[in-house]
Amino acid sequence: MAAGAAPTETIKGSDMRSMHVAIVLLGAALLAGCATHGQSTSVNKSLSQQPDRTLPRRILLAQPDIRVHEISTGEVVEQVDEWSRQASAEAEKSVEAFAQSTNLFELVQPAKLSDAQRGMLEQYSALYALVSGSAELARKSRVAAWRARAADFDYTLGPGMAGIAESAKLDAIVFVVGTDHISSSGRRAAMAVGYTLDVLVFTAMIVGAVMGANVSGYSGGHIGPESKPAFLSAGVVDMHTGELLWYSTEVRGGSDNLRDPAVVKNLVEDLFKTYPGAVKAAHAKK
Amino acid sequence: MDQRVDTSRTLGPDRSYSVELPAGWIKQVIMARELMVSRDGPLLEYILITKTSLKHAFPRTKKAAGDGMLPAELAELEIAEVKSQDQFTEALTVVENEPAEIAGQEGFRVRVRYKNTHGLEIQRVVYGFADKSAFYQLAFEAPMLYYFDTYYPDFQKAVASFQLNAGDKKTADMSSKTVVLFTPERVTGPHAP
Amino acid sequence: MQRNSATRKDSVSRRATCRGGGPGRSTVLAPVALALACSVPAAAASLPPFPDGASLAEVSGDERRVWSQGDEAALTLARGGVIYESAATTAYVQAVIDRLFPEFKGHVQVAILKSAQLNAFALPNGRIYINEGLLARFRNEAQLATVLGHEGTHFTHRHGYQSVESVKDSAAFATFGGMVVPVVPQLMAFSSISGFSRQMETEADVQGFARLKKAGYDVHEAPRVFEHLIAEINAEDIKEPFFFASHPRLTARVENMKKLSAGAPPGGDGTSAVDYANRMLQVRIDNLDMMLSTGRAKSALIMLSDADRLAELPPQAQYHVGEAYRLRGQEGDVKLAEEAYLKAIEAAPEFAPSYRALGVLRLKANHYADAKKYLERYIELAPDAGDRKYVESYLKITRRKTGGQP
Repeated sequence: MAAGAAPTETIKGSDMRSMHVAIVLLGAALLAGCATHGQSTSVNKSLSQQPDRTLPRRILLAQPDIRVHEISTGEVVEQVDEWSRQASAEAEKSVEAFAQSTNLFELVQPAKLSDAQRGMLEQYSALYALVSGSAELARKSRVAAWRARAADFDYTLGPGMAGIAESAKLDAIVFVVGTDHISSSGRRAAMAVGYTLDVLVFTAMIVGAVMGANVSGYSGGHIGPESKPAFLSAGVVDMHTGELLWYSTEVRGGSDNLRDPAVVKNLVEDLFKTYPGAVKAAHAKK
Repeated sequence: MDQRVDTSRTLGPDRSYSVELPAGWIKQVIMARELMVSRDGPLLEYILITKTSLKHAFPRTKKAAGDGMLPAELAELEIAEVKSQDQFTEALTVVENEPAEIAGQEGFRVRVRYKNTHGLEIQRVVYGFADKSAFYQLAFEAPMLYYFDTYYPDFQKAVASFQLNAGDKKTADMSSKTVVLFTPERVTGPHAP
Repeated sequence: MQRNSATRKDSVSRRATCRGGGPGRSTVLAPVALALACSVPAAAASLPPFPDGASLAEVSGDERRVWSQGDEAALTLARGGVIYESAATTAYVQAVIDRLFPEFKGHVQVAILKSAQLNAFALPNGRIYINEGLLARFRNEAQLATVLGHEGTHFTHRHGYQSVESVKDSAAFATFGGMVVPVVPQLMAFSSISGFSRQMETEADVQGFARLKKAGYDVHEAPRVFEHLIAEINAEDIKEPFFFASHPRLTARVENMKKLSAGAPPGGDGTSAVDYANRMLQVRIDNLDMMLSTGRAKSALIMLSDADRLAELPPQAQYHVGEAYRLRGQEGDVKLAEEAYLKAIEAAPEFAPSYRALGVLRLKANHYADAKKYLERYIELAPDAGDRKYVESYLKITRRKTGGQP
């Protein structure tokens, strides 16, 4: 998950007083660890503590935002619009298919909202980026205190969307965000030669964060021609309370990439299998 | 290892000040000079306490905090420093700029607002003052949506509790070869969960 | 685009040919050998410029991808609150670029950024940005047109796209500890911080100059744009992206412009300083405030020391002169600041900030009666001033010292 703010300055020793620098360093330190392939799911503790709480019924689907990049041999990253659009469209279809097949919730499209409501939701989408990014950073942190914070999962966007929820008769909003970095053919050739370099993880993370690079796919210790896993996340936010009810991520390496519609579909299905309603239904079937 | 502070009053890295920090927040010392605490992660909110020499008070604009400077002059330099951070802070709005007392010292309180790259409004409040040898800064930053108003009272309590220690003013030992970047601790106290 | 596919295949096969060892050879020496063997990157062949706006619809493939990055950058700037919101000023600057590039009207869009930095840049998608700092510096429309002609040429001649492709090729040979670098910041960096290649910058100067001439502007204004700005390179210690990159480069460009304009007949449009000053009055005032609030006192003084420029500003501009001296803080500057504030009070007696500024200086000099007089006048003129609490705290001191009521 990309950090919300995108500092653009170069870090110097004399800039230590800079808050942005501090955030970048702290963010880097929180994340300083290997990207783990596989899935992680968090459920808001308010939901965990009330297993019989009614799950949201009418859920607004925020436009899935999946960014697929190509990396050249020289590590220059370019977002490919066409690939990103296709992956986002596939994710949208997959979430809709999940909703219809499970009947766990009814998906509502944003087109039904007014311009003002959409404008406000854009602000909350920006806040979601920071909230989910914080949860992600804390989960993956090497610092035990942050991991404990993430485990005590009570992240929220605040109750500011309650008005929209009331007027549009919505219960929650679901966000699907993802990123992938696919090597160009030249880069894949370089990878075959096996270039690896020892680079300080901190430096890599700091520069990555400063440049606004997506840090979620990094594996620690090696920066250089190396495969970067696909990352997909989904989160459901209660629009009345702002609680991030459920947040799930999946990291897939190997040959899986988000250019492949089947991979996107599969990832979305795997993510939503961990949704509390789906988990309950699965248990009930047993 | 999760190191827990066993009192609710935290000493600054060089022990020249102490402050009550919000219980349950995670504290980290950066480069042996800056004290940062956050509940949910610095992307969402943080309190940052910094002490620098007068000469290096404003590194980006390369200005010093002069001995005898009026609080308004210090505030002016602080605003210039924040504006010089990046393109987005350069366009910030100064919402408030007033005199303030911190630890019995005359200082300033500045409140600024700017937008991040996603268009989310961020607000930052900075208290600052200078004594004969150092410039102190207590800052709080959070998105305007929900987070600022929710946790600003915690920051105000921290500011109200800030004290300079008359005794031990040993500066942080920067000569050691191993620089510990982060010393994470969870703030505990009577109200900690 | 076919050419790009061919170039990429060539690059890849060339890299394969140049590879020093077979697969599995992963010693540190291998990349060095590769670099030595293939020290000249596969340069992107020069592309023909866009002939007109209609041709932009054919942009596709890799170039369209780079355009999308430009769209992303434009969205980030728009969302980030950094656009200088003045419809009239923006429309005026847009009209100038439309006059220079009439066949691209509707496709090249200009926006002004809230920044005191002397900078302008073009994104590959036809978005051109110019900082209020640079806009405020020009003396007339012909000078503005010089810079817009240059930036517009970067777009029409596809320099942004070619530079990105060139970096991707050259980075493959030169970067071994490289980090993953998103292209969006690079797009802005190409245009401003380091500039495009020397060849592209020269092309932009020459072709931009041709546009200036064709549009009927006085081309003798072109070198004057640079002459004033040379002094400002050394004025401030703050490192910043600078439109003219580096001093030697700037000097060379001044010479280029002089050569280009040497043979041109005198005359042409856009030389009226008065017309330009009227259009840019608010931009200049806002820019002065921005310069002073970002610590650029020395640059402000360079501008304000020019009597002609000062005359184009409202009478209270002497207050800004005083502020610039005060913030510069060199020996003797306090006296110069006081003199300027007094001039401001004489020229614009209802302009409140001058009284506050003078009152504070007198306070610091322990002239309490004087300080009290000026600070009280400030509060009379600006009872709702945002810094009233500071001033009231100063007045307490003055009243205490002069034996007055607190």
